[in-house]
Amino acid sequence: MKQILGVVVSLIIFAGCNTLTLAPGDFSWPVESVLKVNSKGIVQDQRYSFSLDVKKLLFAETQDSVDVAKWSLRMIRDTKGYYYITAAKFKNVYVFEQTEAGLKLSKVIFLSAAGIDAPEFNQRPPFIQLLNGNEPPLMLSKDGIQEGGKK
Amino acid sequence: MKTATRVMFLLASSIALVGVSTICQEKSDYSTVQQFQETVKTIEVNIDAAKTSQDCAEVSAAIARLEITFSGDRELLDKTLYPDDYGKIIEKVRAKLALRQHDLGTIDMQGARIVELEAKIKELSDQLAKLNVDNEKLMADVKNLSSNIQKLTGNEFNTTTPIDSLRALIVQLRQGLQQRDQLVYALADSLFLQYDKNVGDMKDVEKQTLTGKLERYGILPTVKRSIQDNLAFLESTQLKGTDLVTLVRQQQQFTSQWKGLMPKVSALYATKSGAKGKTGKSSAAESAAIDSLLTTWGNKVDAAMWRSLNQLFKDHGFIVKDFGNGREFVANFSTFIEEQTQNTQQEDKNKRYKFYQNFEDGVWKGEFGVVWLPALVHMQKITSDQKKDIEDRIAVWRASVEPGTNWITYVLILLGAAVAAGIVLWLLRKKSVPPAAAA
Repeated sequence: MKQILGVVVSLIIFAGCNTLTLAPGDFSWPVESVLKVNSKGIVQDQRYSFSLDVKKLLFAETQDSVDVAKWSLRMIRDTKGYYYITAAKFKNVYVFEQTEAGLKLSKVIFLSAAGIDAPEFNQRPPFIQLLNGNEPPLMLSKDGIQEGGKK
Repeated sequence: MKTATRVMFLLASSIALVGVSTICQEKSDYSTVQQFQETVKTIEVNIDAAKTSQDCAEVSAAIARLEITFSGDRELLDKTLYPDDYGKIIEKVRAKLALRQHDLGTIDMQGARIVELEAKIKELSDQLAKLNVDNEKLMADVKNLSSNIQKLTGNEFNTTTPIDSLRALIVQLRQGLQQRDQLVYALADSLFLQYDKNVGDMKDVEKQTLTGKLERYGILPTVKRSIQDNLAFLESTQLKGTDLVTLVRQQQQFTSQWKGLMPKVSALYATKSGAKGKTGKSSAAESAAIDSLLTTWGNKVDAAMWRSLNQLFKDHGFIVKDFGNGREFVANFSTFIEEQTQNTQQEDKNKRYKFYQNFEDGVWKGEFGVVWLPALVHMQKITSDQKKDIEDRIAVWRASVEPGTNWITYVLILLGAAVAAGIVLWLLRKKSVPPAAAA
């Protein structure tokens, strides 16, 4: 019995030693990407070479997944690798994390019930700055608004 | 109270202003990058569109403004513009501008050269038109004066004034024709020089423009007219001697210049729009007519030249069988000298010597030996070997008739030598006697 326990413990320790972690890392984009949604609900980014189906996001925000081609999404990635997505007339900023061949929603940051007019992201480590016309800028993190508004 | 309210108001305003200015300082990085890229694109478009040095100077100022405007965003732009960066993009734009300035410099230079040539063409064309008028008038004057002189008889004919006037007119006309010949080729050269390349390398539009210019300035008709006027001049004037040598040279130069111009003109018209078009056909016909006229002119001027040389011998009383070309001239003139050398007429030596002296003074050391013979070689009518052969034959002729030395000459030479020797001996003896003995 002791022998079996020893083997199990050794295996656990060995497995733990094999979980290689590379840190710290900086995944921030220096500048946001403005991505036009095509008729199939997909955005493509030339600079970072990815494409993403955003129909579900648009439906979540607007309850409409048909008239998708009118949207231009603004997207930026913070130092930790979280993606922030919003658009003009959106009520929220959506925070995503990377998952296998896609993005998984991490947080929805509420901004305004009427929607924001001209959102623009700036990279301001450790935060993401959100501008909206002449309104005071907001500092966002994956957990919500950190400065300049309701947290 | 009022003062306190004012202070409060000013304080609030100041706080508001600071707040606003803080808000205004916040700008979208994405917009900054977009603005930078759009400004660079506009500058690049302006560089491509620049047509003058002034345009380039304006673009250069725009680049300087771009640098100043975005210098504060350098870090952002360096990150965003990967694989380029802010500095590289500014450098690229400047390099592009420098290249354009270089091209424009070349274009400006070429433009200035074209303008210069255009002015020269205009000047040449005006001179040509004036010479056409002047030559026409001179030609009419020569014809009138020639016909008047032919009517003169007896003492009237001996009057030198009309003949001198005619000669002066002829010289003037000949110079006018020669000047016109040179002008027409100078004009053609200037037209081709504007493009500074072979006809084969020209674009269709350049060929069409040049063809238009050749037609506008009437190059081919003027060449044709030049030959016709030269022919008329030859027929209406009884030129002799060196004048004809000049004319032959003039004709040869004209032919050589035409041979230089004709291939260019033919190549110019041998294009899709040229050779098949009406102008192409008429130009080919014009070129053929010019070739034919040149042959006629060459034959006539040659015939006149040989006639004149035949006449030169006759005028001095030397019977040389008539010749019409270089080969005949060499053969007949050599026969003449050979006959004199061989004394086929069995003439007295003194008479033969006198005859030779007449030849030497009148012909050999005169017009024939000094002008004609070198000119015939230069004009390629005879070879330099043939000239040398003629000179050798004349030397042999001279040796055969020159009086030889006789015995009196030898006696005189001996006598002279004896006297000289006597004087030398006397002088030596005088020197060898000491002064005391002499006293």
